Amino acid sequence: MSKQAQNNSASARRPPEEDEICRVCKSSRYLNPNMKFLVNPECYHEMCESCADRIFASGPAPCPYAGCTKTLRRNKFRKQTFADLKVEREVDIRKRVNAIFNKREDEFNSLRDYNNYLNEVEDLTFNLINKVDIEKTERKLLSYAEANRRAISQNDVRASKESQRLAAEERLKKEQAIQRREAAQRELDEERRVRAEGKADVIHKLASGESATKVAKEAKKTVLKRTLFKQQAEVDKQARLEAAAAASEATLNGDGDDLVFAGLKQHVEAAPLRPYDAYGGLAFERKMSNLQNSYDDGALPRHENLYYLKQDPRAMAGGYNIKEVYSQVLCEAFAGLGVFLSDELGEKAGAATRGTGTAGAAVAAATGSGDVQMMDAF
Amino acid sequence: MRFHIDDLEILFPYPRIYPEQYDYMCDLKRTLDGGGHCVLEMPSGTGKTVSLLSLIIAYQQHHPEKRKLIYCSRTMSEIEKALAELKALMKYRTDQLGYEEEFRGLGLTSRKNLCLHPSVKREKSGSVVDSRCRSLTAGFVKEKKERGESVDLCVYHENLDLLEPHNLIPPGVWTLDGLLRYGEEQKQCPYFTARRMMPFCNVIIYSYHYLLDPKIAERVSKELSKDCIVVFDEAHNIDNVCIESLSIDMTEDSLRKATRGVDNLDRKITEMKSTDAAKLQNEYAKLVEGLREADEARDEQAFMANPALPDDLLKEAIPGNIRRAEHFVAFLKRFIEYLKTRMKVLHVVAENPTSFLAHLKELTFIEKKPLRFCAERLTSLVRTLELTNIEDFQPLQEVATFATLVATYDKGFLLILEPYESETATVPNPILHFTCLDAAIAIKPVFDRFSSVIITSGTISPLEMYPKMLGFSTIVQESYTMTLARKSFLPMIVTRGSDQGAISSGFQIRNDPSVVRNYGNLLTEFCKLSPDGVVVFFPSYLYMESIISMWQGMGILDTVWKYKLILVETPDSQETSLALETFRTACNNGRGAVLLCVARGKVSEGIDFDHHYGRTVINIGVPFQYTESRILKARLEFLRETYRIRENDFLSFDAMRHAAQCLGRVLRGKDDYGIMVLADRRFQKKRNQLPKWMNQYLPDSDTNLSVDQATAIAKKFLREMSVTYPAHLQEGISTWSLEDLKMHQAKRDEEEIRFLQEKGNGVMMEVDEFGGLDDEDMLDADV
Ligand code: SF4
Ligand SMILES: [Zn+2]
Ligand SMILES: [Zn+2]
Repeated sequence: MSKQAQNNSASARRPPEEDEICRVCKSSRYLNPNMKFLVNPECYHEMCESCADRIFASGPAPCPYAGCTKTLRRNKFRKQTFADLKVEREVDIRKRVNAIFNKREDEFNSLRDYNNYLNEVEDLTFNLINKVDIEKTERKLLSYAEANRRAISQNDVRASKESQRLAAEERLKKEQAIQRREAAQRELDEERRVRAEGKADVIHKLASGESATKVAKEAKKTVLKRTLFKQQAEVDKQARLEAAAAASEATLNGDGDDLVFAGLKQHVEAAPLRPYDAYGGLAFERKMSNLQNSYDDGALPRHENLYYLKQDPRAMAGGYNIKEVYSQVLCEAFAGLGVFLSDELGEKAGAATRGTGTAGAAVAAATGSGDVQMMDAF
Repeated sequence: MRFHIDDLEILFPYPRIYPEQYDYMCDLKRTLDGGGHCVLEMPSGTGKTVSLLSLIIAYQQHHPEKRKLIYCSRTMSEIEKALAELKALMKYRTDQLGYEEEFRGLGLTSRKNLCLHPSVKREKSGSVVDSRCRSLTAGFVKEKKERGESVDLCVYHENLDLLEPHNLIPPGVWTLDGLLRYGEEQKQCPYFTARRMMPFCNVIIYSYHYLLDPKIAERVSKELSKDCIVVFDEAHNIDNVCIESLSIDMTEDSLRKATRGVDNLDRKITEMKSTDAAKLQNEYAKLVEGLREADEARDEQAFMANPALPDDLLKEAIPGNIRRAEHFVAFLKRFIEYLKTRMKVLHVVAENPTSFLAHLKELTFIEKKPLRFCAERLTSLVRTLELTNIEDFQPLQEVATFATLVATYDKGFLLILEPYESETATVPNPILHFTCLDAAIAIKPVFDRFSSVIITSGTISPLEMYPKMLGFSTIVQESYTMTLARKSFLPMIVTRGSDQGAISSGFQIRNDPSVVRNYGNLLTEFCKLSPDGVVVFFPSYLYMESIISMWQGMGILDTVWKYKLILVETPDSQETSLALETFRTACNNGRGAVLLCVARGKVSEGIDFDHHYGRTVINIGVPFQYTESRILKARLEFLRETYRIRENDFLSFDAMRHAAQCLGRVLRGKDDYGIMVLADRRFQKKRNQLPKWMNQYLPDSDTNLSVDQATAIAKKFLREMSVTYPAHLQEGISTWSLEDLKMHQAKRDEEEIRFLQEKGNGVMMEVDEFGGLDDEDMLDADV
């Protein structure tokens, strides 16, 4: 809405004060009611459109204002937005400065830092506006822009995305409001129509000689029915509206000619690289047992005593460290303990069978014997 | 009269009480006990204020925590009336109790009404008084004086500093007049006496704005504690007050003045830089630190307060780009230039704050955040610059208020630019309305902060509408009927002329000569039959004018003239008060007069036509609002979308509350009598929206009358009224003595016991029967 207002404002702008005179050709609004004034952002000297056309028709020329040394081009002339030319110029400067200093609050550690930044930018802008230390300021500006080119363009993209999203939302809201308004109107019309019909109906019935009390009773009944119906309709309408709102929310991104994606993640700084972790953070730790350097329980027979494993060539054949062998064995022994069948049975059947399988394997490992003995283990 | 409600002793300063007053008090007590809000509709002229005060004072004195009462009313005269009632009540209490209670009751109104300074008080405009007072009392002025510079101070204000700060005025109830007199005697400023004594008062009576307008409330009412009892009296229009307090209109002229204000600021800054740069530097340093002046909120002289409501206030430091004084001034300038540019558009624009802000940013690079701080920053700057002639800065202040509001709220507000004053105007005269659509926004802090808020009026139907619109919930919602020993007012709905043609102010037929003639007949007939004063209300000035000129052409006014003097209300308040004066004189000396006025004008809201001043009131047409207004349309849409109040329901509600308000003007007490005529076909369907107490006395047979039927009924009624009605016949019915009241209480208690017993066990039939008999016996004995 506002944009449209702005566009129209050019043509719809009402005549300024009658005594406006072009300082170059001295023609006035009184003589030429269609006169338009233009300015050039080089020096902001005002002149009428025909002067601008005439003077700069054959390429760049010096500004006709006495004492102004600027060379102007026709294509840079434009209509001014603000009545106050100082503000017009200020805004032009701000446009440039803002394009460079577009940092955001969340990029600063504290609000105070951000405020100081804003303060400093404002100081710079002021220098440019009031022509103080222009050269130094310009230099600062340029070097900053150079140094922060990437950050600037990133923020730029962010900002424009945001404003697009905002515009799209605005549009959507407006559409919905219109829909709702229309719906309310329709409802009202419908109500009126029904009421009028009802009345006509009653009159007709009375005219055709039906008993008045009966007609009245019937009319009352219809009214009651209608109220009930209306209440239901109200509920339905509510649901419909909500659904519509949800639907259009979903299509928020699909319509219009500019592409805006919903749910885009706000730009996140990449975290520093860490060593590759194949298990994706999954850690293995012993819960059930402690690995010891050596196992020697003399009471146990040889084939059950881990101590002798050390001497078993088969165990060491792969070139393993004996501790790894212990570890392996312990792991086999304790695997599956701490898995509770009943818990997992509650889940899916498939999961349950898998659970049993694991438990079975564990038991088998623990006993170190064949399948047959498995049943006895419990 | 002294009696108890439950365990609370009430001292009621009259020997008799109306039944509805008793009920009203019971419900009030229920609300206070329950700690919630309520909406109560009490028929006009039944002593609402005195019942309210008696109960709340009794409650206050009975409980150790002595909850403060904040009583808000609309007009000066109502405030004065309430203070007088309070004074009488306290006197009665002292007499009855035999000792004086430690009690303070004060009224507060603007400086303009309370100023004593010989030259300041003569100023006509309130804002000039405020500004001049400030230049005589501000802290920095005093500092200057101490430094030996020659500046003027107000002695009335200075003298206050010599007194004990919590005892500026002796205990007791002070009417505004009394306060002025005391101030004159003691040479102390009544305004500041009242303001500073507010924390030490038991009762404060002031206007709505001190609580509802955030710009004022923040300064005046900030320190009131949570357990205060807040009463809004005559609250039928409270939603509009809320909305107005947050709406701002800007014109090209006001913007020009604002620019001048900014230029002034700019100059002052340059000046100060050369003379006293340290002050600016000091302010800057404080803003960098994010410090707010500790006593800022209590600064009685502050230029303006932040218009945003407490919940939405940002408590962080002022943004960096408006910290420096010159930066801020440039910022304001840019903002105003932008507004001026917007004013140039030649078609109507309606937009919400979000889109306004987006466009603003696009064009001027003004961000939302610094905009929010505009009001605060401006206050700080004005304080630093030690400006005294603040009335020059009022337009600027308005712009800053607007800036803060538009950047704070994205819902419930709308910007409407209207380039032309009317549909037919060709020369643009743009107005930028920043209009609040949601009455709940302004009043929300009140409901959040105070545990008991009582909303009451003579005409506040339908009751459910108010909680809905204002976004609160009630624990008691009650509308009282009026007990009358004989019907002393006659409401009726006239739908047809004597020729059976329907009469209505509806758009299609309003200028139909036959309708106008029928209205004319109605007026003539009632002027003929009713004694003394007749008041006629039209829906709008425009309509009134056209009808009057048509009546003139038809010779109707000439006929009326034979019976009554004809007076007309105009938008000019002085002319109107002259007309009222004449009206009164004519009623007093027996000539009789008819006053033609407008249902939304001054007369309909604040002026009572008691007794012979108003024997008949006629509502010509349903006083609907002007529905083509864009602001109204926007509000209707908002109500529909947000509160599910349908447009027609709201319009009809609004029209009927005004109609009821007009009708209520003529009945100001139980000994009063009057005829109330609703003359429009459409009233027939809307009668349910009238207050209960009016509806109660409007029989179905009187809702579809023709002019001659109405005349006959009215004549009969007046004949009845002319028979004197001995007061003792009213006793026990429409007025109760203490015995009547005791009897009622006993009966009610018994009923309650019986009810409980019945509920307890079903075998209590016998007792029940006896109880019933007993009651009847008692009643018989009484009558
Ligand atoms: S201090 Fe009081 S008396 Fe003095 S100018 Fe201000 S309002 Fe008037
Ligand atoms: Zn020219
Ligand atoms: Zn130039």
